[in-house]
Amino acid sequence: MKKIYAFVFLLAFLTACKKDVDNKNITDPKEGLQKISEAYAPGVSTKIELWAKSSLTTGFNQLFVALYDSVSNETITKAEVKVLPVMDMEMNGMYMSHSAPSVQPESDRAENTLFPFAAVFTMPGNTDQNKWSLEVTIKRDGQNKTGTARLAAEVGPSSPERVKMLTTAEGDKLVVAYFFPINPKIGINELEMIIYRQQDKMSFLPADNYLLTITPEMPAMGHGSPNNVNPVYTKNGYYKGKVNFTMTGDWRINLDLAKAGQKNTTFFDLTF
Amino acid sequence: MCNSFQFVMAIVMVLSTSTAMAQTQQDSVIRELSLKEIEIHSMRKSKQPKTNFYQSSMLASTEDILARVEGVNLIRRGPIGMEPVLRGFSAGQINVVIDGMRIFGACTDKMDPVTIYTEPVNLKSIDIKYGGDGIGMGATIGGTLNLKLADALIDSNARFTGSLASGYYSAATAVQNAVVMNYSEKKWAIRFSGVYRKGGDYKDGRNEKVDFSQYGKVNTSVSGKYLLSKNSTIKADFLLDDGWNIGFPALPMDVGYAKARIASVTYERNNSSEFLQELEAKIYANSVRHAMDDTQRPATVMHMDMPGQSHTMGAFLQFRLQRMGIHAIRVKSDFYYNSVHADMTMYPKDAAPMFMLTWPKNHQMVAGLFVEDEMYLSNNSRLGLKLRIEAANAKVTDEMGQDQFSVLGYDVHGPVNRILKNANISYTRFLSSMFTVYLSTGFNERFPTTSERYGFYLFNQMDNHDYVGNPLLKNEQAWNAEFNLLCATKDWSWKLSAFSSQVAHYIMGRTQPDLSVMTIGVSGVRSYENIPSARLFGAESSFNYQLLNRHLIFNNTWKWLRGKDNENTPLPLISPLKIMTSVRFQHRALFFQVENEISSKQSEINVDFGESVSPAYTLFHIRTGYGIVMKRHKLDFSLGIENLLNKAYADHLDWGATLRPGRNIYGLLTLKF
Repeated sequence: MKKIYAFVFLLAFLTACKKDVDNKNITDPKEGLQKISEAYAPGVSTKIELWAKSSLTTGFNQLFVALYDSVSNETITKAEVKVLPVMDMEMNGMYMSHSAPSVQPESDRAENTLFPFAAVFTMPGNTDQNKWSLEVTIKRDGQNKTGTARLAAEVGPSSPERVKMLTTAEGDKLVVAYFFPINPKIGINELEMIIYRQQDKMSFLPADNYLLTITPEMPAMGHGSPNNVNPVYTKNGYYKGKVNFTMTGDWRINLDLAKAGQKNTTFFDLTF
Repeated sequence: MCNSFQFVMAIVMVLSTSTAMAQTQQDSVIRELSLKEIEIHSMRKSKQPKTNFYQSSMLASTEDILARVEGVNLIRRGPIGMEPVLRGFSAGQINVVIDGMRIFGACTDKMDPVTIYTEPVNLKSIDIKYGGDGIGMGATIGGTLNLKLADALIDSNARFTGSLASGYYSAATAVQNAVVMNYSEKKWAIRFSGVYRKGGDYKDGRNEKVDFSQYGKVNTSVSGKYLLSKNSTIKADFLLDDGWNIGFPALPMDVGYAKARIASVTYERNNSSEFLQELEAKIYANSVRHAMDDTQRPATVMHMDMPGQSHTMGAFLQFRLQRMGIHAIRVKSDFYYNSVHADMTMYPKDAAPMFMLTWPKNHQMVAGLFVEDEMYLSNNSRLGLKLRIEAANAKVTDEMGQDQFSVLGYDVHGPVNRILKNANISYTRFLSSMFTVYLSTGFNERFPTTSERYGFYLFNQMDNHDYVGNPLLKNEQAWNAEFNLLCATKDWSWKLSAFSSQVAHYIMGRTQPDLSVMTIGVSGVRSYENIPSARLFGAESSFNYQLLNRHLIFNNTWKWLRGKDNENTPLPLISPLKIMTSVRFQHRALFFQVENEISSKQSEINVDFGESVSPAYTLFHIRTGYGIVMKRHKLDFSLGIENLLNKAYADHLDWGATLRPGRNIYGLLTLKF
């Protein structure tokens, strides 16, 4: 992923440079993104904005944080940023909270003014009873204080479902999500999955020791596709492989997760 | 049709006349031996008894005619749209051309061999050259079938001529109507022909209706010719063929439509005193659109659309050089560009439509040079040398197709470039006034076809497998040899041919256990592979005897073929021994003909390809006709009964062993003017 950002950044940089010469027009780093919410982090005089490529849905979401000095309104490009997704639920007057897996910004330096991170929302949260928010804690470069803000995040359902939760024979609770870096197409597709194990209500750890087997299938016909590459672990909970589609239509990717002789299965549906 | 008695008479004359005269007669014998030419007559009745044998009636289809030719068999999946097989070679192993023009079907399942896009009414002749003799039209290992288009006739004595024919066939309650018209001025002429054929489901020999055996077809062609000078002409041809609702009982789908548009402009110049003689230059373009249709089928799991297109453009130039010493050299250079694509969209219930490229858009571009030298070694022997070199290029041109093929582990982004080499040498010896021997041998190779290279999960009903292409296929190569003997006297002629082909890198489907099937219910996936070798051999005989001052004509042909792969397993789709005999009695305007067709049992089968033993069968047909000559017109009646004994039978090359039509009574009325 980082490579892609680096590439995008580089591309943006290069084109920006070129355009500078040509017509002095700097590419907006937020082009193609939409603002989800914003909030002030008290104590560190910083405004935090939450950006995403599209409105949020359950499953893997690529997100961005943009920081501004609340006085000068200048962009802050160096800061430690930590993010915690929080779900607040109200059921018959009872309140409870839990978190969801997240991938933290890799560096304290902004990439083209943005701090990219990811969250895997495990359920929809867009009502008064179920609300997602992102607890963003920042420590600006050169400051000792940390400040935290809560940014509201409306999360709709994904269809077909892009996240699956399963409990293994050993009792591990896993969150499995998949995403395509590009739109699915006929041919070879990069397939990335992200798997986190729930440690407690508020924390998730990357599950790095599963052996994944994918079997794509067209449920309408019962056939699959040849030469798929099973995803293997890279880092931060990511598994990378290849899935092949021979035609358009409804596909199901059957997924086996094996660890120490135990096998768990789930599947993801997609249509293109 | 070359006439053997003319030749014999000429041989007699040789004793008293010049050798040059003999040479022209020798030419015709060589033609007879190296070329199977079936003249088609739609305007006037042929005086050639053999033509009557092949063209059983004025409304006989191209396929009817081909089925009777020794050396030709037809793979049948439905009542029309049969695939020609020349001595065991079919599809990409042979060239099927229309008047020298390259044209390729648009159906991934071979439901539209290009022979269906012509009708005998727009043909002058069907020329067949087997094996290496056929390399004039393109690199080939199995030969060339050339459907020669009829020209407009410039004849100031016959300004407006033509014929009308109408027929009815009982087995399929089919009607056929044909018209040919020729209008001639002093310097130009125009010819029009049209055919309408429509048939319902036919009844087989058990008197049961064969579902999905209907068809409908219209074919029209216009040909114009203009005399530029005494020795040169320019002509333009346009042919339009529309088929619809063509049933294929042996397949799970029918043909919704099959449309061909064929156009060409030809310049011809012939002046025997010039250095370049028999010059012919042609530019052409054709397009074929085809769509399969499953909407009539009751048991369809899900509906699918399967359209395909094939577009070809090309040109050629050929001429003969003025004879130099013993050498008579002919040169032909040709070029064509063919682009095809086909796709499939399936519509499952309650799910998104599924789209796939069955032939990713791809093209073949071929440029060839052909040189033939006929050497007059002596008064009674000739040596023929044919060389062809071809540069071929094939490429998948759309990105989706390239991506789709990468799923199979092939990178098809780049083109495939090949040089194809074909060489053939023939020797003719005129042994005596009665016997002529013709020997021919050569090395041939051919480029794999679109389906073999880029086909994507094409279903084959015969072996119940999905087929995927193999972009890495090598050229198929053959060492061909044949021996022909012609014995001819005034009253009879007998031609015997024996041939053999040793094929290297023979292309065949082989099961790929790693690949999962796509079509519901099929047994597996096969990919085209080059198997180390295959061998085909066989023999043909054709005997013609005319008795009682040509009142009685006896014709008898045999065709026999064997094919084995490198493990000695019989090759699929090899016809068993077939014997066809006809006796025709002719007296003035009346004729009566009895025919007998025998096919032996075929137990040399390829089980892997889904073949089973085919039983032998014997058929009888009778035909009769009477012509009334009026002042300016001629009215011909003909009546016939095919499969007289209502035999329930299927040929070995009939897919699914679908029974053929039972007793078929037909009547034709032809008006010639």
